[in-house]
Amino acid sequence: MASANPHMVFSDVHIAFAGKSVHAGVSLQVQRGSVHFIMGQSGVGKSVLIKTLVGLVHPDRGSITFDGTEVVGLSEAAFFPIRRRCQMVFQQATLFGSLSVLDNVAMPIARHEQVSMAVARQRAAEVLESLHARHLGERLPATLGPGLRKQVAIARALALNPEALLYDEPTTGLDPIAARRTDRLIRETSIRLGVTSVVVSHDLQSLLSIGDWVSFLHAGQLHFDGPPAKFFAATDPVVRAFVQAGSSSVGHC
Amino acid sequence: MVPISASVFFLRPLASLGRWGQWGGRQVQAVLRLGGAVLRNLPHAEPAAIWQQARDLGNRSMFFVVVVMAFVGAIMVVQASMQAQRIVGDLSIIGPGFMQLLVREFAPTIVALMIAARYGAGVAAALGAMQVTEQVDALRLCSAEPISYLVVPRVLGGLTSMPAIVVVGGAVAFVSGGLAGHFGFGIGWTSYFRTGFVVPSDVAIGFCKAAAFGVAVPLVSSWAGLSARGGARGVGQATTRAVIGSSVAVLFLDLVFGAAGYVAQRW
Ligand SMILES: Nc1ncnc2c1ncn2[C@@H]1O[C@H](COP(=O)(O)OP(=O)(O)O)[C@@H](O)[C@H]1O
Ligand SMILES: [Mg+2]
Repeated sequence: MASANPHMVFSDVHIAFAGKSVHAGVSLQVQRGSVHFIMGQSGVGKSVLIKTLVGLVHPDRGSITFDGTEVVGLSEAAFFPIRRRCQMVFQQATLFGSLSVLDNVAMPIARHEQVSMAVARQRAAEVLESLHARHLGERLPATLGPGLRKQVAIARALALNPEALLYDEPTTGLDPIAARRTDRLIRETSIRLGVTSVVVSHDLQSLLSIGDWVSFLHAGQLHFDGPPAKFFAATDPVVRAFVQAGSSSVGHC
Repeated sequence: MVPISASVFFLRPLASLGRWGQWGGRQVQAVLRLGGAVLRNLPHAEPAAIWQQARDLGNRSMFFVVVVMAFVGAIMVVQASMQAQRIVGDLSIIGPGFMQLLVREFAPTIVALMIAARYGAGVAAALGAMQVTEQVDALRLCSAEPISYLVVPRVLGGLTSMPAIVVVGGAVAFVSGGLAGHFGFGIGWTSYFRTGFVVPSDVAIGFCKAAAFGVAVPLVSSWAGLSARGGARGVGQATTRAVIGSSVAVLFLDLVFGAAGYVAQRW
Protein backbone atom coordinates (compact mmCIF):
# COMPACT_ATOMS: atom_id res chain seq x y z
CA MET A 1 0.00 0.00 0.00
CA ALA A 2 2.01 2.95 -1.23
CA SER A 3 0.87 6.30 0.02
CA ALA A 4 2.25 9.79 0.18
CA ASN A 5 2.86 9.76 3.91
CA PRO A 6 3.45 6.33 5.45
CA HIS A 7 4.23 6.16 9.18
CA MET A 8 7.09 3.69 8.90
CA VAL A 9 9.17 2.76 5.88
CA PHE A 10 11.60 -0.17 5.72
CA SER A 11 13.84 -0.07 2.65
CA ASP A 12 16.19 -2.87 1.69
CA VAL A 13 16.81 -3.94 5.29
CA HIS A 14 19.58 -6.50 5.78
CA ILE A 15 20.16 -8.17 9.15
CA ALA A 16 22.52 -11.02 9.94
CA PHE A 17 23.60 -12.53 13.27
CA ALA A 18 27.10 -13.97 13.42
CA GLY A 19 27.19 -14.31 9.64
CA LYS A 20 23.75 -15.97 9.49
CA SER A 21 21.43 -13.87 7.33
CA VAL A 22 17.94 -13.25 8.72
CA HIS A 23 16.73 -10.47 6.43
CA ALA A 24 18.17 -10.03 2.97
CA GLY A 25 16.60 -6.87 1.62
CA VAL A 26 13.15 -6.39 3.17
CA SER A 27 11.16 -3.33 2.08
CA LEU A 28 7.70 -2.48 3.36
CA GLN A 29 5.58 0.45 4.49
CA VAL A 30 3.18 0.83 7.39
CA GLN A 31 0.32 3.29 6.99
CA ARG A 32 -0.64 5.77 9.67
CA GLY A 33 -3.41 4.53 11.96
CA SER A 34 -3.57 1.08 10.38
CA VAL A 35 -3.46 -2.31 12.11
CA HIS A 36 -0.63 -3.85 10.14
CA PHE A 37 0.14 -7.55 10.60
CA ILE A 38 3.59 -9.04 10.09
CA MET A 39 3.34 -12.77 9.64
CA GLY A 40 5.63 -15.65 8.84
CA GLN A 41 6.96 -18.83 10.32
CA SER A 42 8.82 -18.93 13.63
CA GLY A 43 12.38 -17.77 13.31
CA VAL A 44 11.81 -15.89 10.05
CA GLY A 45 12.78 -12.67 11.83
CA LYS A 46 9.50 -10.94 12.62
CA SER A 47 10.55 -9.86 16.11
CA VAL A 48 13.96 -8.79 14.89
CA LEU A 49 12.37 -6.65 12.18
CA ILE A 50 10.08 -4.66 14.47
CA LYS A 51 12.79 -4.26 17.12
CA THR A 52 14.87 -2.29 14.62
CA LEU A 53 12.29 0.52 14.84
CA VAL A 54 13.03 1.17 18.51
CA GLY A 55 16.75 0.48 18.43
CA LEU A 56 16.78 -2.92 20.12
CA VAL A 57 18.28 -4.46 16.98
CA HIS A 58 20.55 -2.63 14.56
CA PRO A 59 20.34 -3.54 10.87
CA ASP A 60 23.54 -4.10 8.91
CA ARG A 61 22.28 -2.28 5.86
CA GLY A 62 19.21 -0.45 4.59
CA SER A 63 17.04 2.39 5.78
CA ILE A 64 14.18 2.57 8.26
CA THR A 65 12.22 5.75 8.80
CA PHE A 66 9.75 6.50 11.55
CA ASP A 67 7.53 9.45 10.69
CA GLY A 68 10.14 10.58 8.20
CA THR A 69 13.09 10.30 10.60
CA GLU A 70 15.87 7.88 9.69
CA VAL A 71 16.49 5.59 12.67
CA VAL A 72 19.27 3.38 11.31
CA GLY A 73 22.54 4.40 12.92
CA LEU A 74 21.03 6.39 15.78
CA SER A 75 22.73 6.14 19.17
CA GLU A 76 21.02 4.65 22.21
CA ALA A 77 20.35 8.13 23.55
CA ALA A 78 18.90 9.29 20.23
CA PHE A 79 16.40 6.42 20.39
CA PHE A 80 14.84 7.68 23.62
CA PRO A 81 12.57 10.23 21.91
CA ILE A 82 11.63 7.63 19.30
CA ARG A 83 10.71 5.11 22.01
CA ARG A 84 8.49 7.66 23.62
CA ARG A 85 6.47 7.91 20.42
CA CYS A 86 6.71 4.25 19.42
CA GLN A 87 6.26 1.75 22.24
CA MET A 88 6.46 -2.01 22.19
CA VAL A 89 4.44 -4.78 23.84
CA PHE A 90 6.83 -7.70 24.21
CA GLN A 91 5.97 -11.30 23.57
CA GLN A 92 6.76 -12.53 27.05
CA ALA A 93 5.43 -11.12 30.28
CA THR A 94 7.99 -8.36 30.58
CA LEU A 95 6.37 -6.62 33.52
CA PHE A 96 8.86 -5.85 36.26
CA GLY A 97 8.20 -8.53 38.85
CA SER A 98 9.11 -6.52 41.93
CA LEU A 99 6.84 -3.59 41.02
CA SER A 100 3.06 -3.40 41.41
CA VAL A 101 0.91 -3.12 38.30
CA LEU A 102 0.46 0.59 38.95
CA ASP A 103 4.20 1.16 39.31
CA ASN A 104 4.86 -0.85 36.16
CA VAL A 105 2.64 1.53 34.22
CA ALA A 106 4.06 4.56 36.04
CA MET A 107 7.67 3.61 35.33
CA PRO A 108 7.89 4.79 31.68
CA ILE A 109 6.08 8.01 32.59
CA ALA A 110 8.47 8.76 35.45
CA ARG A 111 11.51 7.91 33.37
CA HIS A 112 10.66 9.41 30.00
CA GLU A 113 9.07 12.59 31.31
CA GLN A 114 11.27 12.85 34.40
CA VAL A 115 8.40 13.51 36.76
CA SER A 116 8.11 12.25 40.34
CA MET A 117 6.76 8.76 40.94
CA ALA A 118 3.70 10.28 42.67
CA VAL A 119 2.73 12.26 39.57
CA ALA A 120 3.48 9.29 37.36
CA ARG A 121 1.27 7.04 39.50
CA GLN A 122 -1.66 9.40 39.10
CA ARG A 123 -1.31 9.33 35.32
CA ALA A 124 -0.80 5.56 35.37
CA ALA A 125 -4.05 5.15 37.29
CA GLU A 126 -5.88 7.07 34.56
CA VAL A 127 -4.37 4.87 31.87
CA LEU A 128 -5.41 1.72 33.76
CA GLU A 129 -8.87 3.22 34.22
CA SER A 130 -9.22 3.74 30.47
CA LEU A 131 -8.48 0.05 29.94
CA HIS A 132 -10.88 -0.95 32.74
CA ALA A 133 -7.96 -2.31 34.76
CA ARG A 134 -7.77 0.20 37.62
CA HIS A 135 -8.68 -2.50 40.16
CA LEU A 136 -5.46 -4.40 39.31
CA GLY A 137 -3.23 -1.52 40.36
CA GLU A 138 -1.95 -2.85 43.68
CA ARG A 139 -1.40 -6.43 42.49
CA LEU A 140 1.98 -7.88 41.63
CA PRO A 141 2.39 -9.17 38.05
CA ALA A 142 3.02 -12.74 39.25
CA THR A 143 -0.52 -12.89 40.69
CA LEU A 144 -2.12 -12.14 37.28
CA GLY A 145 -2.99 -14.64 34.56
CA PRO A 146 -1.36 -14.29 31.12
CA GLY A 147 -4.37 -12.44 29.66
CA LEU A 148 -4.36 -9.77 32.36
CA ARG A 149 -0.59 -9.48 32.23
CA LYS A 150 -0.87 -8.76 28.52
CA GLN A 151 -3.50 -6.13 29.27
CA VAL A 152 -1.19 -4.46 31.78
CA ALA A 153 1.71 -4.60 29.33
CA ILE A 154 -0.47 -2.81 26.77
CA ALA A 155 -1.42 -0.24 29.41
CA ARG A 156 2.27 0.35 30.14
CA ALA A 157 2.98 0.80 26.44
CA LEU A 158 0.10 3.28 26.20
CA ALA A 159 1.20 5.26 29.25
CA LEU A 160 3.17 7.74 27.18
CA ASN A 161 0.43 8.32 24.63
CA PRO A 162 2.52 6.90 21.80
CA GLU A 163 1.59 7.39 18.17
CA ALA A 164 2.58 3.83 17.32
CA LEU A 165 2.56 0.49 19.12
CA LEU A 166 4.51 -2.63 18.20
CA TYR A 167 2.91 -5.85 19.43
CA ASP A 168 5.08 -8.98 19.39
CA GLU A 169 2.78 -12.02 19.20
CA PRO A 170 0.14 -10.51 21.49
CA THR A 171 -2.15 -13.55 21.42
CA THR A 172 0.44 -16.34 21.50
CA GLY A 173 0.08 -18.38 24.68
CA LEU A 174 -3.33 -16.95 25.57
CA ASP A 175 -6.50 -19.01 25.75
CA PRO A 176 -8.97 -18.23 22.94
CA ILE A 177 -11.15 -15.97 25.08
CA ALA A 178 -8.21 -13.91 26.33
CA ALA A 179 -6.83 -13.85 22.79
CA ARG A 180 -10.04 -12.40 21.35
CA ARG A 181 -10.24 -9.90 24.22
CA THR A 182 -6.67 -8.83 23.39
CA ASP A 183 -7.65 -8.45 19.71
CA ARG A 184 -10.52 -6.18 20.71
CA LEU A 185 -8.20 -4.17 22.93
CA ILE A 186 -5.75 -3.66 20.05
CA ARG A 187 -8.53 -2.58 17.69
CA GLU A 188 -10.16 -0.26 20.26
CA THR A 189 -6.84 1.32 21.07
CA SER A 190 -6.17 1.87 17.41
CA ILE A 191 -9.55 3.53 16.89
CA ARG A 192 -9.82 5.46 20.18
CA LEU A 193 -6.29 6.87 20.14
CA GLY A 194 -5.50 6.64 16.45
CA VAL A 195 -2.25 4.78 17.11
CA THR A 196 -0.57 2.89 14.31
CA SER A 197 -0.42 -0.77 15.34
CA VAL A 198 2.17 -3.19 14.02
CA VAL A 199 1.18 -6.69 15.07
CA VAL A 200 3.59 -9.60 14.75
CA SER A 201 1.46 -12.72 14.82
CA HIS A 202 0.77 -16.27 13.66
CA ASP A 203 -2.86 -15.89 14.60
CA LEU A 204 -5.03 -15.93 11.47
CA GLN A 205 -8.15 -15.33 13.55
CA SER A 206 -6.63 -12.06 14.80
CA LEU A 207 -5.75 -11.05 11.26
CA LEU A 208 -9.24 -11.84 10.08
CA SER A 209 -10.96 -9.86 12.82
CA ILE A 210 -8.74 -6.78 13.26
CA GLY A 211 -6.13 -6.61 10.46
CA ASP A 212 -6.06 -3.87 7.81
CA TRP A 213 -2.96 -5.12 6.05
CA VAL A 214 -0.58 -8.06 6.16
CA SER A 215 3.08 -8.39 5.25
CA PHE A 216 4.20 -12.01 5.04
CA LEU A 217 7.90 -12.75 5.43
CA HIS A 218 9.53 -15.83 4.03
CA ALA A 219 13.20 -16.78 3.71
CA GLY A 220 14.50 -13.31 4.47
CA GLN A 221 12.23 -11.59 1.96
CA LEU A 222 8.84 -9.91 1.88
CA HIS A 223 6.82 -12.65 0.22
CA PHE A 224 3.31 -11.16 0.28
CA ASP A 225 2.04 -7.65 1.01
CA GLY A 226 -1.66 -6.81 0.81
CA PRO A 227 -5.03 -6.70 2.55
CA PRO A 228 -6.17 -9.77 4.57
CA ALA A 229 -8.86 -10.78 2.08
CA LYS A 230 -6.24 -11.14 -0.66
CA PHE A 231 -3.96 -12.98 1.75
CA PHE A 232 -6.60 -15.61 2.50
CA ALA A 233 -7.38 -15.97 -1.20
CA ALA A 234 -3.77 -16.06 -2.36
CA THR A 235 -2.73 -18.83 -4.73
CA ASP A 236 0.95 -18.58 -3.83
CA PRO A 237 1.94 -22.02 -2.47
CA VAL A 238 3.91 -20.69 0.53
CA VAL A 239 1.10 -18.40 1.65
CA ARG A 240 -1.49 -21.12 1.04
CA ALA A 241 0.45 -23.61 3.14
CA PHE A 242 0.64 -21.06 5.97
CA VAL A 243 -3.06 -20.20 5.74
CA GLN A 244 -4.15 -23.83 5.53
CA ALA A 245 -1.96 -24.90 8.44
CA GLY A 246 -3.55 -22.21 10.58
CA SER A 247 -7.10 -22.31 9.25
CA SER A 248 -8.20 -25.33 11.29
CA SER A 249 -7.80 -23.23 14.42
CA VAL A 250 -9.54 -20.25 12.79
CA GLY A 251 -12.67 -22.34 12.22
CA HIS A 252 -12.89 -23.35 15.87
CA CYS A 253 -12.54 -20.00 17.53
CA MET B 1 57.56 -28.22 5.61
CA VAL B 2 56.55 -29.23 9.09
CA PRO B 3 56.36 -32.98 9.68
CA ILE B 4 52.81 -34.21 10.23
CA SER B 5 53.46 -35.36 13.77
CA ALA B 6 54.75 -31.94 14.76
CA SER B 7 51.78 -30.21 13.22
CA VAL B 8 49.38 -32.49 15.09
CA PHE B 9 51.08 -32.44 18.44
CA PHE B 10 52.44 -28.94 18.46
CA LEU B 11 50.89 -26.56 15.97
CA ARG B 12 47.30 -27.63 16.35
CA PRO B 13 47.16 -27.11 20.12
CA LEU B 14 49.00 -23.82 19.56
CA ALA B 15 46.42 -22.73 17.01
CA SER B 16 43.57 -23.58 19.34
CA LEU B 17 45.43 -21.79 22.12
CA GLY B 18 45.52 -18.77 19.83
CA ARG B 19 41.78 -19.02 19.21
CA TRP B 20 41.17 -19.31 22.93
CA GLY B 21 43.35 -16.30 23.48
CA GLN B 22 41.42 -14.27 20.92
CA TRP B 23 38.13 -15.40 22.41
CA GLY B 24 39.33 -14.52 25.91
CA GLY B 25 40.53 -11.14 24.68
CA ARG B 26 37.09 -10.36 23.27
CA GLN B 27 35.41 -11.32 26.55
CA VAL B 28 37.80 -9.15 28.54
CA GLN B 29 37.15 -6.26 26.15
CA ALA B 30 33.41 -6.69 26.59
CA VAL B 31 33.75 -6.62 30.38
CA LEU B 32 35.94 -3.52 30.20
CA ARG B 33 33.41 -1.83 27.90
CA LEU B 34 30.71 -2.59 30.47
CA GLY B 35 33.02 -1.14 33.12
CA GLY B 36 33.34 2.04 31.06
CA ALA B 37 29.56 2.26 30.74
CA VAL B 38 29.25 1.81 34.51
CA LEU B 39 31.66 4.72 35.04
CA ARG B 40 29.65 6.93 32.67
CA ASN B 41 26.44 6.03 34.51
CA LEU B 42 27.84 6.62 38.00
CA PRO B 43 26.24 10.08 38.35
CA HIS B 44 22.79 8.47 38.21
CA ALA B 45 23.52 5.99 41.01
CA GLU B 46 20.72 5.73 43.56
CA PRO B 47 21.87 5.23 47.17
CA ALA B 48 18.81 3.13 48.05
CA ALA B 49 19.48 0.69 45.20
CA ILE B 50 23.17 0.44 46.12
CA TRP B 51 22.32 -0.24 49.75
CA GLN B 52 19.84 -2.90 48.70
CA GLN B 53 22.47 -4.68 46.60
CA ALA B 54 25.08 -4.42 49.33
CA ARG B 55 22.63 -5.98 51.76
CA ASP B 56 21.69 -8.64 49.24
CA LEU B 57 25.35 -9.57 48.78
CA GLY B 58 25.83 -9.77 52.53
CA ASN B 59 22.66 -11.74 53.15
CA ARG B 60 23.46 -14.24 50.47
CA SER B 61 27.10 -14.79 51.34
CA MET B 62 27.61 -14.18 55.06
CA PHE B 63 26.67 -17.62 56.38
CA PHE B 64 28.69 -19.36 53.66
CA VAL B 65 31.70 -17.09 54.26
CA VAL B 66 31.64 -17.59 58.04
CA VAL B 67 31.42 -21.39 57.83
CA VAL B 68 34.09 -21.75 55.17
CA MET B 69 36.48 -19.23 56.75
CA ALA B 70 36.13 -21.00 60.12
CA PHE B 71 37.30 -24.22 58.49
CA VAL B 72 40.02 -22.46 56.48
CA GLY B 73 41.43 -20.80 59.64
CA ALA B 74 41.50 -24.03 61.62
CA ILE B 75 42.97 -26.08 58.77
CA MET B 76 45.73 -23.57 58.01
CA VAL B 77 46.80 -23.20 61.63
CA VAL B 78 46.83 -26.97 62.13
CA GLN B 79 48.98 -27.47 59.02
CA ALA B 80 51.30 -24.60 59.84
CA SER B 81 51.71 -25.77 63.43
CA MET B 82 52.58 -29.30 62.34
CA GLN B 83 55.28 -28.01 60.04
CA ALA B 84 56.60 -25.47 62.54
CA GLN B 85 56.78 -28.13 65.24
CA ARG B 86 58.87 -30.39 63.01
CA ILE B 87 61.17 -27.75 61.61
CA VAL B 88 61.68 -24.93 64.10
CA GLY B 89 59.79 -26.12 67.16
CA ASP B 90 58.59 -22.57 67.85
CA LEU B 91 54.85 -21.98 67.58
CA SER B 92 54.84 -18.42 68.84
CA ILE B 93 55.05 -16.92 65.34
CA ILE B 94 52.03 -18.88 64.04
CA GLY B 95 49.47 -16.31 65.19
CA PRO B 96 51.05 -13.10 63.95
CA GLY B 97 52.30 -14.81 60.76
CA PHE B 98 48.84 -16.11 60.00
CA MET B 99 47.37 -12.69 60.73
CA GLN B 100 49.63 -11.07 58.17
CA LEU B 101 48.87 -13.72 55.59
CA LEU B 102 45.15 -13.28 56.16
CA VAL B 103 45.26 -9.50 55.85
CA ARG B 104 47.43 -9.38 52.75
CA GLU B 105 46.24 -12.41 50.88
CA PHE B 106 43.88 -15.05 52.13
CA ALA B 107 40.96 -13.14 53.58
CA PRO B 108 40.30 -10.99 50.47
CA THR B 109 41.00 -13.74 47.96
CA ILE B 110 39.16 -16.65 49.53
CA VAL B 111 36.18 -14.52 50.52
CA ALA B 112 36.01 -13.02 47.01
CA LEU B 113 36.14 -16.48 45.43
CA MET B 114 33.27 -17.57 47.62
CA ILE B 115 31.28 -14.48 46.74
CA ALA B 116 32.00 -15.11 43.07
CA ALA B 117 30.38 -18.52 43.46
CA ARG B 118 27.48 -17.40 45.61
CA TYR B 119 26.59 -13.84 44.65
CA GLY B 120 28.10 -13.88 41.14
CA ALA B 121 25.97 -16.84 40.12
CA GLY B 122 22.92 -15.13 41.58
CA VAL B 123 23.58 -11.88 39.70
CA ALA B 124 24.10 -13.71 36.41
CA ALA B 125 20.94 -15.77 36.90
CA ALA B 126 18.85 -12.71 37.73
CA LEU B 127 20.14 -10.52 34.89
CA GLY B 128 20.26 -13.47 32.48
CA ALA B 129 16.60 -14.27 33.16
CA MET B 130 15.74 -10.60 32.60
CA GLN B 131 17.71 -10.60 29.36
CA VAL B 132 16.18 -13.73 27.81
CA THR B 133 12.63 -12.75 28.81
CA GLU B 134 13.11 -9.33 27.16
CA GLN B 135 12.81 -7.45 30.47
CA VAL B 136 16.10 -5.70 29.72
CA ASP B 137 14.64 -4.54 26.39
CA ALA B 138 11.48 -3.48 28.22
CA LEU B 139 13.62 -1.36 30.56
CA ARG B 140 15.20 0.33 27.55
CA LEU B 141 11.75 1.05 26.15
CA CYS B 142 10.90 2.67 29.50
CA SER B 143 13.96 4.87 29.12
CA ALA B 144 15.53 3.18 32.14
CA GLU B 145 19.13 2.63 31.02
CA PRO B 146 19.74 -1.03 32.04
CA ILE B 147 23.32 -0.35 33.04
CA SER B 148 22.51 2.40 35.50
CA TYR B 149 19.45 0.51 36.68
CA LEU B 150 20.87 -3.00 36.97
CA VAL B 151 24.67 -2.94 36.93
CA VAL B 152 25.73 0.27 38.71
CA PRO B 153 23.94 -0.59 42.00
CA ARG B 154 25.46 -4.07 41.98
CA VAL B 155 28.98 -2.82 41.32
CA LEU B 156 28.79 -0.10 43.97
CA GLY B 157 27.07 -2.49 46.37
CA GLY B 158 29.96 -4.93 45.88
CA LEU B 159 32.52 -2.16 46.33
CA THR B 160 31.05 -1.19 49.70
CA SER B 161 30.14 -4.57 51.13
CA MET B 162 33.07 -6.72 50.01
CA PRO B 163 35.63 -5.06 52.35
CA ALA B 164 33.24 -5.47 55.29
CA ILE B 165 32.67 -9.16 54.56
CA VAL B 166 36.41 -9.67 54.10
CA VAL B 167 37.01 -8.21 57.57
CA VAL B 168 34.40 -10.51 59.07
CA GLY B 169 35.71 -13.55 57.18
CA GLY B 170 39.31 -12.79 58.15
CA ALA B 171 38.37 -12.34 61.80
CA VAL B 172 36.48 -15.63 61.85
CA ALA B 173 39.42 -17.46 60.27
CA PHE B 174 41.87 -15.90 62.74
CA VAL B 175 39.76 -16.81 65.78
CA SER B 176 39.06 -20.36 64.61
CA GLY B 177 42.77 -20.74 63.88
CA GLY B 178 43.50 -19.56 67.41
CA LEU B 179 41.12 -22.10 68.88
CA ALA B 180 42.64 -24.90 66.80
CA GLY B 181 46.16 -23.80 67.75
CA HIS B 182 45.33 -23.57 71.44
CA PHE B 183 43.47 -26.84 71.82
CA GLY B 184 45.44 -28.84 69.27
CA PHE B 185 48.98 -27.58 69.87
CA GLY B 186 48.82 -25.70 73.13
CA ILE B 187 49.65 -22.32 71.61
CA GLY B 188 49.06 -19.68 74.29
CA TRP B 189 46.31 -17.12 73.75
CA THR B 190 48.68 -14.20 74.21
CA SER B 191 51.31 -15.53 71.83
CA TYR B 192 48.71 -16.26 69.13
CA PHE B 193 46.55 -13.14 69.29
CA ARG B 194 49.22 -10.66 68.26
CA THR B 195 49.15 -8.27 65.35
CA GLY B 196 52.85 -7.36 65.48
CA PHE B 197 53.73 -8.56 61.96
CA VAL B 198 51.04 -6.54 60.25
CA VAL B 199 52.28 -3.21 58.90
CA PRO B 200 50.14 -0.44 57.39
CA SER B 201 51.05 -1.45 53.85
CA ASP B 202 49.61 -4.93 54.48
CA VAL B 203 46.33 -3.37 55.50
CA ALA B 204 46.41 -1.07 52.46
CA ILE B 205 47.04 -3.95 50.06
CA GLY B 206 44.36 -6.10 51.67
CA PHE B 207 41.86 -3.27 51.50
CA CYS B 208 42.66 -2.44 47.88
CA LYS B 209 42.26 -6.08 46.95
CA ALA B 210 38.92 -6.36 48.71
CA ALA B 211 37.67 -3.20 46.99
CA ALA B 212 38.89 -4.32 43.56
CA PHE B 213 37.32 -7.77 43.98
CA GLY B 214 34.14 -6.08 45.15
CA VAL B 215 33.96 -4.29 41.79
CA ALA B 216 35.19 -7.19 39.64
CA VAL B 217 32.80 -9.91 40.82
CA PRO B 218 29.54 -8.01 40.17
CA LEU B 219 30.90 -6.45 36.98
CA VAL B 220 31.92 -9.77 35.41
CA SER B 221 28.75 -11.46 36.63
CA SER B 222 26.53 -8.68 35.26
CA TRP B 223 28.30 -8.93 31.92
CA ALA B 224 27.69 -12.70 31.92
CA GLY B 225 24.00 -12.22 32.72
CA LEU B 226 23.40 -9.44 30.19
CA SER B 227 25.04 -11.45 27.41
CA ALA B 228 22.78 -14.48 28.01
CA ARG B 229 20.97 -15.65 24.87
CA GLY B 230 18.33 -18.25 24.19
CA GLY B 231 16.05 -19.24 27.05
CA ALA B 232 16.72 -21.20 30.22
CA ARG B 233 19.80 -22.86 28.78
CA GLY B 234 21.36 -19.49 28.08
CA VAL B 235 20.74 -18.45 31.69
CA GLY B 236 22.43 -21.63 32.95
CA GLN B 237 25.45 -20.98 30.76
CA ALA B 238 25.55 -17.38 31.96
CA THR B 239 25.81 -18.44 35.62
CA THR B 240 28.67 -20.79 34.76
CA ARG B 241 30.43 -18.02 32.86
CA ALA B 242 29.89 -15.64 35.77
CA VAL B 243 31.46 -17.97 38.34
CA ILE B 244 34.42 -18.92 36.16
CA GLY B 245 34.94 -15.40 34.82
CA SER B 246 34.75 -13.65 38.16
CA SER B 247 36.97 -16.26 39.86
CA VAL B 248 39.61 -15.80 37.17
CA ALA B 249 39.28 -12.02 37.49
CA VAL B 250 39.80 -12.26 41.26
CA LEU B 251 42.91 -14.41 40.93
CA PHE B 252 44.31 -12.24 38.16
CA LEU B 253 43.79 -9.05 40.17
CA ASP B 254 45.28 -10.80 43.20
CA LEU B 255 48.42 -11.50 41.22
CA VAL B 256 48.58 -7.92 39.92
CA PHE B 257 48.15 -6.42 43.38
CA GLY B 258 50.64 -8.88 44.87
CA ALA B 259 53.24 -7.93 42.27
CA ALA B 260 52.52 -4.23 42.66
CA GLY B 261 52.78 -4.51 46.43
CA TYR B 262 56.09 -6.34 46.14
CA VAL B 263 57.52 -3.71 43.78
CA ALA B 264 56.25 -0.89 46.00
CA GLN B 265 57.95 -2.42 49.04
CA ARG B 266 61.29 -2.78 47.29
CA TRP B 267 61.33 0.91 46.48
N1 LIG C 1 20.31 -11.17 19.54
C1 LIG C 1 20.39 -12.20 18.68
N2 LIG C 1 21.58 -12.81 18.48
C2 LIG C 1 21.69 -13.84 17.60
N3 LIG C 1 20.68 -14.32 16.88
C3 LIG C 1 19.47 -13.76 17.03
C4 LIG C 1 19.26 -12.68 17.94
N4 LIG C 1 17.96 -12.31 17.88
C5 LIG C 1 17.39 -13.13 16.98
N5 LIG C 1 18.28 -14.00 16.47
C6 LIG C 1 18.01 -15.03 15.43
O1 LIG C 1 17.33 -14.39 14.38
C7 LIG C 1 16.34 -15.26 13.86
C8 LIG C 1 15.00 -14.56 13.84
O2 LIG C 1 14.53 -14.39 15.16
P1 LIG C 1 13.09 -13.76 15.50
O3 LIG C 1 12.99 -12.42 14.90
O4 LIG C 1 12.95 -13.85 16.98
O5 LIG C 1 12.07 -14.75 14.79
P2 LIG C 1 10.48 -14.69 14.85
O6 LIG C 1 10.05 -14.52 13.44
O7 LIG C 1 10.04 -16.02 15.37
O8 LIG C 1 10.08 -13.57 15.73
C9 LIG C 1 16.34 -16.51 14.71
O9 LIG C 1 17.06 -17.50 14.01
C10 LIG C 1 17.07 -16.11 15.94
O10 LIG C 1 17.78 -17.19 16.46
MG1 LIG D 1 9.35 -13.55 17.61
